[in-house]
Amino acid sequence: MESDKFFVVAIVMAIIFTGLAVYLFLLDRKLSRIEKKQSEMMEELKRKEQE
Amino acid sequence: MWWKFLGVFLVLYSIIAGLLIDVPALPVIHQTIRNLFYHVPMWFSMFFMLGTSLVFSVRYLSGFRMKDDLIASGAANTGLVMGSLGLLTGMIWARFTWGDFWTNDPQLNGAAVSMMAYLAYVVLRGSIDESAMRARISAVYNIFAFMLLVIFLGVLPRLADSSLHPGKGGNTSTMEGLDPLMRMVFYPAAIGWILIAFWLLQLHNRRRALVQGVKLNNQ
Repeated sequence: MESDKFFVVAIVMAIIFTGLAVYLFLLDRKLSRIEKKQSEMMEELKRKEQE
Repeated sequence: MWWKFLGVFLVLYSIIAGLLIDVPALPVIHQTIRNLFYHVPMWFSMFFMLGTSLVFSVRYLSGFRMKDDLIASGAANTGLVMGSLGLLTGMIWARFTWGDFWTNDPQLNGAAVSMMAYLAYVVLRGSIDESAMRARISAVYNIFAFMLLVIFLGVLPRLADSSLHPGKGGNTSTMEGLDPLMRMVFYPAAIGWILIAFWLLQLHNRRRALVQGVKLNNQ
């Protein structure tokens, strides 16, 4: 197993996958922020209509 | 939120452990048996996505809420992505073990037919402009497409006389013959990829909900 150096491939693939996961995570956070902003805008619109 | 981290952790574990464990020495497939940890979870997550799609199509038909239609079509799209990855990885694997990119195997042909059924779902949706009509017709079609999927991937390959896939055409089941050490990697890999697929589905639908002005959760 040592001479195969399989672990090198494992590390490379793990880094790539971690990178993709971090990207997904940041995308997730960005979406949450936009969702929050949109619902705030909606509420403001409703308030202005009521006035 | 926690399940997203769990998904990432399980897939990471399956990538590392899947390459490092000792696998049984088998003729023909040799070390490529490790593909089991990466190729098969694609199909599992496709099944979960298309199952989610079916559930939300039925929910749409019982309440006619646009939210359900959005989730159903997003799940069908995500399922198609996972299924395409399954097909591509399977073709590569087949080329180097069975000798050809496409073999005349009931499982392969069944997968192709059911992917076509879901491509037809996408085409059908694209051809109807009126959103309520599109939602209703595609929800009904989706139930039919899922039946095709079950028949072509779940029933017919098992009834076939012979198949190169394990567990089909009278072969022993994959799970029965699976090495116990490989099980320790395979199950986490499958669960991990299913969770990742649900994460992708959620991101996809949240983006579309923002664009279309549909509210996903009851805020």
